Amino acid sequence: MLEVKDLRKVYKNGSLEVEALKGVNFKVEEKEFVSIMGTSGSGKSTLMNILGCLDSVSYGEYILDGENVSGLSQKRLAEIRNKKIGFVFQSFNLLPKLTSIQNVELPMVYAGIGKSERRKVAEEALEKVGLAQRGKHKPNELSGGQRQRVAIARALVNKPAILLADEPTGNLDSRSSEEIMGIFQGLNREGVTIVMVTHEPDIAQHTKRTILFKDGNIVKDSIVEDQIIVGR
Amino acid sequence: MVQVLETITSAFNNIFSYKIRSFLTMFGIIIGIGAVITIVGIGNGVKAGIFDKLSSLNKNMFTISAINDSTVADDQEDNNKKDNDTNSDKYDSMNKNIIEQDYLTLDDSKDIEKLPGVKAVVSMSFSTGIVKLKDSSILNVNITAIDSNYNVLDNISTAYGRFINKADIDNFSRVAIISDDFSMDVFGKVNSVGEELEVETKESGVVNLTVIGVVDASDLSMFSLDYFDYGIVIPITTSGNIFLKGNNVDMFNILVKPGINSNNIIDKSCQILNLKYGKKDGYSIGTFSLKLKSINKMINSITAFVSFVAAISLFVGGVGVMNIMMVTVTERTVEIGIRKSLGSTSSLIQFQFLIESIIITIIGGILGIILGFISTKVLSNIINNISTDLKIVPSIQLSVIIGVFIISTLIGIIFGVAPARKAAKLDPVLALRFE
Ligand SMILES: Nc1ncnc2c1ncn2[C@@H]1O[C@H](COP(=O)(O)OP(=O)(O)OP(=O)(O)O)[C@@H](O)[C@H]1O
Ligand SMILES: [Mg+2]
Repeated sequence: MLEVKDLRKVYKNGSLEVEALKGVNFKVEEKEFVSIMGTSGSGKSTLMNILGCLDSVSYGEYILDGENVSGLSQKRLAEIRNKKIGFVFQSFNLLPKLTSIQNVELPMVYAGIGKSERRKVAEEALEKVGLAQRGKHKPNELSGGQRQRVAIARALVNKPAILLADEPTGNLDSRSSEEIMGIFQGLNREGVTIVMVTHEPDIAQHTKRTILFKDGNIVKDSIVEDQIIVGR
Repeated sequence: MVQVLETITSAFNNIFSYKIRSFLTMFGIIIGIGAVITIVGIGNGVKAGIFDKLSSLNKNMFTISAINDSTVADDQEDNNKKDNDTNSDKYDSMNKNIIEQDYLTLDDSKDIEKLPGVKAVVSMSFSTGIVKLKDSSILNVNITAIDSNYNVLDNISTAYGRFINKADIDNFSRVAIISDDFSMDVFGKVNSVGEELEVETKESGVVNLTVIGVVDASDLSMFSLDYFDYGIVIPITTSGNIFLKGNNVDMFNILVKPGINSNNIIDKSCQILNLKYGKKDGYSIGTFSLKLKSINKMINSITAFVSFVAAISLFVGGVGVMNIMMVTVTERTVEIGIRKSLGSTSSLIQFQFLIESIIITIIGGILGIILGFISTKVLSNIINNISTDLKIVPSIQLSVIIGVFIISTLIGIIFGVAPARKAAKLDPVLALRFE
């Protein structure tokens, strides 16, 4: 499904060089649910941006769905972001002037899907995250947890190969976090592959596998022993 | 296609959700386009007005006017003395000096009238005199002298009394035609036929003229308005007598028969005059097309200058649009990052911002056209109220409106490209980190 080989990322600011990733190797198989943990500045977001095709690789390889991503054209990368990847951010990143349903429709606009089809799929996606009644509301009329659920619905509408989430519960209280993890687990059961960054061990406890980062290196990669299952 | 349509829709939404800002952004464009429309509208109106005024003249008419220049006249002394002799008994010795200065005589008019192709030659002279009004105020009025065949140029019917006839010319009759409003001011009544009009002249002191006809000023054509409206019209021979011009006149109006090339007649008339006076520079020729050409040239150069100023204001307006769009791109950095992360291509982002500035400049153009129409209407009304002898009929060609549309679009493109490229080039990762 997804594989990185000797992945390095160097940020250059003039003469100053920061090596955020120092040769990372790992594989994620289909239907896995992986959490990535590590101290602040250890390179988790850098990795997620590369996996999400938002950022380029300095050295090494990134293979997504059998396609080597490094060296692809900007246009093809935009297409991969649109069709193969669903991104969920810590700060939700909804467009404030659009309603929930319009936000959810956006990836389908870029995929070139017609209006009525978009509406239908978006309504279904909102229903799936329990927000069927909130389609006409704008983000500032929703709670943090509701906003993140809209963002998840948006990430799913184009049926991506993988769902990437960078600290999705970072801005939420424990009850909302619990809800989000329940949604992720449900999606994972339906076969969605998920890679998620988190700071909190009990959130990581909801996943099936944890990769631990330190200073741009993987220091631990282990199966979660006693997984917490929401609502069971 | 879906992407393009949705992008255009969202551009409209953006513009309309920030109404005041969008309006301020397009302000420079509105003013610039409004100015262009106003200039074109008024320019066309003035042209049409002048054309209208001129076309009430006969197009197959031209004029020969004497240039009163004594140095030119001195050379012609001998020639003029000959003419002088024919009428010498009618003029005192003082006349001679003045007669000698002038070129055109009633005899010349008869010679030109004999040319084949010439329908008529109407002689005219222009002077002034002082008249005392009923309210005892004193007024300097124009006195126009005409020949009895004036009616071939413009058929004037009198409201009261009669027009100047052949007998008036032959008898040097001290008679006058005046307009109704002038009559009202001098005699306190519209119908002043038979009254004596006292005119004080520099040349002959106080002269009494009998009013033989009164014309309705509101009935006059553009052509006759200049002479008859609030002025005194007298026989050409009477004028020669009173104003010591003798046989000389100031201007010939030469009417050419239909279908005859007036340039030929101009040449032949000049030949006649040259043969008589030996020189050509003592008189000037005026034709309808010459007048029209010089006026058009003048209006066009004014239009060009003001258009240049308008172009500068459009440029400044365009820079204003660019400035605001640059700010907009910075403000919407996160939005750009989000859109890119969801799969929007750089070219679509570029298109989004480009179309926004184009829509802004096009709306600015439309508002400018509306503003231009309004200010054209208002300005032409003001001008028409102030000036009595020029009627402006403003008009704006469809081609100008289409041109303005194209210009607005071009401004949107030219000044929208840089901000749009800036947006397209944004790194999505940095854009998402931007707070
Ligand atoms: N654009 C950049 N230019 C220079 N250095 C950068 C840039 N982005 C990240 N870094 C550096 O790379 C390192 C890894 O950053 P990253 O954001 O991936 O950390 P993180 O693990 O996500 O931390 P956190 O848990 O606080 O979110 C940091 O030292 C950071 O300063
Ligand atoms: Mg991070």
